[in-house]
Amino acid sequence: MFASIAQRILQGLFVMFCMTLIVFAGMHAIGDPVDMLISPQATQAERARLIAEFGFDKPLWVQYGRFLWGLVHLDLGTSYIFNQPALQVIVQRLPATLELAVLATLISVVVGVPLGLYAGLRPHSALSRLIMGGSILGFSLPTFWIGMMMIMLFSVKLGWLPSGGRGETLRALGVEWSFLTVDGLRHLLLPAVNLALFNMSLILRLTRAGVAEVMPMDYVRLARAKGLSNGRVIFVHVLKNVLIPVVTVVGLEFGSVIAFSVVTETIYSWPGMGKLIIDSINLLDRPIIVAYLMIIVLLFITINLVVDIIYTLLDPRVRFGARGKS
Amino acid sequence: MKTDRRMFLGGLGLALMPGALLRGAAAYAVTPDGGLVIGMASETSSIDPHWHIVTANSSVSQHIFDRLVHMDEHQGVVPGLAESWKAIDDTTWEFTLRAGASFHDGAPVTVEDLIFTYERAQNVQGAIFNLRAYLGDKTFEKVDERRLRVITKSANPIVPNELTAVAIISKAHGEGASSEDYNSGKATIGSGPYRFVSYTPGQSIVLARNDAYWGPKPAWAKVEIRPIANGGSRVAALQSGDVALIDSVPPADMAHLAGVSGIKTTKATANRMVFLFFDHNRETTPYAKANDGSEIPNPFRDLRVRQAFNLALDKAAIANRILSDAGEAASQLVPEGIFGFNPEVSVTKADAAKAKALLAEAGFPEGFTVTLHGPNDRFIRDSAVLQATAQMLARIGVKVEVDAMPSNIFYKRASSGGPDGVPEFSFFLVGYGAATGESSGPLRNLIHSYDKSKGYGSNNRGRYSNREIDALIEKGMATVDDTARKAIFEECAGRAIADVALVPLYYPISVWAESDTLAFAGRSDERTLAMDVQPAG
Repeated sequence: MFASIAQRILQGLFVMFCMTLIVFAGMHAIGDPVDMLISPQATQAERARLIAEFGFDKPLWVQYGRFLWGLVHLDLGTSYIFNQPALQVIVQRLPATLELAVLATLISVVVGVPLGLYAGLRPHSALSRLIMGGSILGFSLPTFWIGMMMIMLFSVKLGWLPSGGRGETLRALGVEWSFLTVDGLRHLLLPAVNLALFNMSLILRLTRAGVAEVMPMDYVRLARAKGLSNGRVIFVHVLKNVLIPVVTVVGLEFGSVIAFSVVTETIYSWPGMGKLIIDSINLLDRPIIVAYLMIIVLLFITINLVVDIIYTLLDPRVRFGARGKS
Repeated sequence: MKTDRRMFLGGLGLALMPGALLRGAAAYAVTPDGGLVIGMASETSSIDPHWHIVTANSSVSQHIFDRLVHMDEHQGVVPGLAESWKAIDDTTWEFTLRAGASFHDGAPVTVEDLIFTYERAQNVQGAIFNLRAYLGDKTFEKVDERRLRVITKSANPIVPNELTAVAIISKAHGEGASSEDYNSGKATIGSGPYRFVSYTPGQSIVLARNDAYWGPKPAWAKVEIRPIANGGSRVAALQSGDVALIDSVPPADMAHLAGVSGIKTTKATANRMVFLFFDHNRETTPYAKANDGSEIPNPFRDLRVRQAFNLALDKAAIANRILSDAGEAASQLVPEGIFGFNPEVSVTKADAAKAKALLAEAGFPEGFTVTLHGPNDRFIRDSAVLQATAQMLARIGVKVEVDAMPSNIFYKRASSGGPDGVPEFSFFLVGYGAATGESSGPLRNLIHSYDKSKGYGSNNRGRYSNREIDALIEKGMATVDDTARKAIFEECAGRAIADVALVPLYYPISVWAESDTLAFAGRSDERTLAMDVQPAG
């Protein structure tokens, strides 16, 4: 198992390396941020001096070499926009995104799985039809629209919840968290629900399909024949089998919720990483873009690893790293 | 795409407005203890006042740090930390420091602090917007405890204007301080009307009133500035009472906000001009072709073609309809009220028939084809302005193809995308802001010939060149007497516009919206300052 994990990590490092190359080449093709950031009062000599100072006039391989040299020293470069180490800028915004993503995923699982289970067990009831119909809305309506509508309703009309921002935060483990204060939770609720809607619908439908598939199977009948209680049949035997595809999807979606929550973050002025990457691309802030994408690659590798470990817990037949041996 | 969404959301807001759901008087974010919450479209990237002089940063730093010279709402120069100044000769200015001004730590502001500030401002590691652009030609000398001499390499009449860009920091706290020390508050000691309390990137900046301030005391004991990037969210935050004042109201929301009780809007013409620029230089220009696609000599070298373009464009229609009044039709390089505005130059009235005749006279009775390049994320509704321009030119027979692109690609290509690093485009939309509050910037950098050795024409991406105007601009740049210089600059503006060096389209109008319990007049430099906001009545 450990050999297998090590192999995964090595693969991941290789992917990261390739990614930095692609990003560097791509950014180089577009250009440098000097034309956008320089003072309109600056003279030509000043402009040339700046370009030379940043090494933007050097060939791509020299710039890439410098980047790798920095990487060896654990330095991902300094942001052209924030004048802070790129990694620091990202890590500053990571907790906000993380708590939003965790809460959104939690909501989508806690609401999605039971509803899906219900819809799967009683496919013909009116409530099931309502749930399934609602789930279509959940993944077909655009996030920004639902987000704005929720603000209009809950903040502007009813005045129950704040329209955006992070609210009061509390420091724990050296980081500011919103979910530890009542005010923070109030700020967190709308964006988290907004972010959860799509995944909730997805999980709900996956669970329902799984249940519909598993219920007629022999082992379920056997369990019933053995005289097990309905609850035990459903929650132990059925659910465990249904959850395997759900875990895969939750894992992948958790990654994308962290990496690409930009729409929700922008609408709710949530100071997370999603907006940061878009702004950085617009302003060609290369150190941030590279560092951000490296972190995202790392994140997906970790999530996939965790997902694989959860598989083995859910299904004893899946053995980590046992591929090809059976 | 962006515009569509704004319009869509604005429409939705409009649709939802009437009816019983409407809440009563909102508790706007003006608290009884004198707090004011402001929602800004752009995020402040650093509290370091010398790092990047961009609206979102300057707005914040103006609260905490004074300048030697300040700008009023119309960008006229007024005393800041200097109570007075005078030009001793063409290359020497003397500033007299105000008595009684002190930093937030209680230490008085001294000439040493000024000299230290100007040194540091030019040497912030990694700053692409480097203040060398404002300070590079100056040396600073202490005369006595209250007087500072600024010596320039050549005559420079706009020294006071240029010094408005540089925030004065405390030497005791600023020595060796990094941008990080300003973000954390460790070095954030200024002499301004507000003290720094906290900065959480992307989230909020909190300021508290400096009760020992030398100038007028601001009305608010506490100010919080929040970045709210999305236009719809900004409006919603104002309507829900989470903030009391927002900047950059989306044009689509203007009509809907007018119908909301408890909210009013404030407008001010910005010191920026959005214009169309031509390739004046190359014999053939890559994007202008005959109707059958064959090569033609660069049509924009002919004054009549430029005049025809100018006459074909209905600037008032662009400002009023396309921009929903978020722009004012432009006649010249700077809007009225800014030093160097020529009152005799007025907005050209659109006249398609005359334009067509001029085009025929220039040898293009059937017109020609040209690609119009422009950014699609830089100015309000820039893509729509490009489309409207193309259609107006179609009326005089010029077939215009619009190519809009993100500004990160556009500016690079516009400055140096052609062979050998020359500007690439033939006909394009750009903007220029008169940051110093007078017209020398656009004259020197846009209209003057591109001249590397003199450092003139640095933004002249059309490579316009007119030796007579060049000489006049250089004469103006060396004239310290305000009245004489004003006359010269006005003449420069008149000549450049008569020669259609560029086609001014509009001056953007900054639009704020605020609770009607506030009195706020707006500014021409696009900044949003709590000092300008008073309780109404």
